[in-house]
Amino acid sequence: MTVISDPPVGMPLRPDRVLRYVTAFCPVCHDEAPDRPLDEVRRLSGYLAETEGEVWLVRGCPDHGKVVTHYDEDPEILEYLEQWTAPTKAHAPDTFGNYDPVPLAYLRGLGEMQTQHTCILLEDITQSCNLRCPTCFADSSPDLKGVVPYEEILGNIDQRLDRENGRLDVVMLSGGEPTLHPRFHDLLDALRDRNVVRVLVNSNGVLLARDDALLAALERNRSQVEVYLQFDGLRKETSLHHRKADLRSIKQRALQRLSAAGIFTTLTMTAALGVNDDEIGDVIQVALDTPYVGGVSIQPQFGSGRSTPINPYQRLTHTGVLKRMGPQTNGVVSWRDMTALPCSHPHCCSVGYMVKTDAGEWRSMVSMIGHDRLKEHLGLVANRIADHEIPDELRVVVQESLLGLLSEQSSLSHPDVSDLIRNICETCDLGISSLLKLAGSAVGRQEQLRATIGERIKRITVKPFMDMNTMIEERLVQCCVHVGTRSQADMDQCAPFCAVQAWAPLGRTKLSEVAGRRAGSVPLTLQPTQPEVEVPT
Amino acid sequence: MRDRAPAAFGEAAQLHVPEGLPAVAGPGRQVDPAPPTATATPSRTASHMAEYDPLRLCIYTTIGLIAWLITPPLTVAVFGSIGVIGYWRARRRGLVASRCLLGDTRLVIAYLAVAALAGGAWTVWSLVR
Repeated sequence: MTVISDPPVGMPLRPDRVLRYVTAFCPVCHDEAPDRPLDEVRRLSGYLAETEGEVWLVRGCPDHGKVVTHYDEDPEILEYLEQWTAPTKAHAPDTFGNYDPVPLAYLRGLGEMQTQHTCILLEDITQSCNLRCPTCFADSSPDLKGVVPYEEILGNIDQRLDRENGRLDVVMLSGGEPTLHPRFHDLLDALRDRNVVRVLVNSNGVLLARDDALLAALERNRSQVEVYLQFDGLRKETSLHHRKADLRSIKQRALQRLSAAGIFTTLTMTAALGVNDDEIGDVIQVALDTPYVGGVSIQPQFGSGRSTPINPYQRLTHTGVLKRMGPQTNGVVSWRDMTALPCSHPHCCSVGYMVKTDAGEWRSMVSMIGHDRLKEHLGLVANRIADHEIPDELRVVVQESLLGLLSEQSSLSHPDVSDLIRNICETCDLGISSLLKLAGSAVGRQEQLRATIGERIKRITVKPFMDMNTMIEERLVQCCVHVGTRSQADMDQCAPFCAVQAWAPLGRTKLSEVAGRRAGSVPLTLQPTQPEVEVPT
Repeated sequence: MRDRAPAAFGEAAQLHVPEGLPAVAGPGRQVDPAPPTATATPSRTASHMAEYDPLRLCIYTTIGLIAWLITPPLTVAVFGSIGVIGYWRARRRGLVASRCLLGDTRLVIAYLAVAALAGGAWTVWSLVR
């Protein structure tokens, strides 16, 4: 007898698991017309979904149907990061009543619906660069001559100071290569006289490796200035891939000179799948071993600006970097030592502090405090254990200290860092007594404290910037890394970093682009970028 | 190398997957690293002469080398020498990679120097023989 079973009734389960609903954009539309007016950019319904052990960004486009791109490599780590969120700070919009949709809103600066203030104001002060890297989000090169006049840079910063109620946490000088700016030294001096807590200098290190006057200028301002040194790895092939030249000896020399001058330096690593994603541990080790290297910022390659090709279905991601840390550092640093940066969207940045104990062992602040306890200190969860040893007023101090450390604005050259560490050390008993002692008696011993921090505390961050394959609106509106821009009405304003790099009409509002058009290095009517013609010689 | 979205998502737009990407295996371990590619990269128009990249001096030398086939090699010696000086100054000002196909400015300087020396030697030899 043959038994014929009825077909199943009702709908089957989905083969993917939806993690979060998002608003995204279509990369195919973007590639077809990268210069499309922003009021024609469609905001698309979408979601992040897990399948086959990875996370994918799915959105529906009226023209191209379902568009799926690789978003992140490890759902477990992504879920872990999402636990770390904290209150954001209020902001003042650049244009009141600007309720335009993203990204159109950013043509008039930060809109009303932005939910985070400016932690970092990035100023592109020149288009020109002394390298022609195949991967460059700013699309800089020696061909470009846009140099932002000194007064315009300060005008943009002063406008932001006004919006931020008189104080800016971080101004990052970038470009191009900012040290090529003809009035770079004057800029450092001018920023010293403003209420800017710290100045970060994004540099490829070429001039730093040999220009004594430049080094002296940085050293003069080292209590306020920190260098973000492009440092992609130790292999020749890595340098050739990312920078089109073997720069290893130059980087080494720049690093030695910065360290000897006591200038806090963060190694900025552009990491790409199959190129140097196996060098993450090596770069971290260089940071651990080198005095005054305050840490490492690992940035997975993203596709905005000029970029070597990236596979939309397989790329190095935020959680991909995090999961490589443990195996590549023999367990010294792992993803459990990191947290998401609580002040920004949890997918946008992760951070971890490594502290060398009196026994010479590297331990993370997270492991010393403990995950649960850290969350309680941050106010992320209700107090479950009776924290009898911490009185209420101290609890507030610790919470503010930790939020200060775990924010975009912070790094080891921050003048308040000794206070933050002392507050945390005292109340959490981290077992690093000599450091605590030094921090506790810091008055008059700033240099010794600087040296100790430079040797014994390292800050590791992972910063995945978005291109059109990974862009979601939720991250843009919570972004706190803003680029100084100028509106069509010639008003100073700013906009989220990833948006400015991804959409050409926004990119044209960068100060350096405005200056470049004036200098004639970019046609006034911008067309979609053309392939550069290599001139054979 | 993965070249499409997982089947779980059903019908989805097929995106362009660039060719020639480095091979990848496992969690980020590098396999047979691809040699650096000298692919042309999108950029703005390159019509402006870079103040740090005296490319034309290299081009002149190459034209001189070609001209050598039909003229005395003095042109090569002259342009090669100017090229060496130009690139030397450019390197001192920070130009590490040139748009010249040779890339590294040290290689360009070496190339120009060899061309200039050869041109000079050949000119002298032609005059004294």
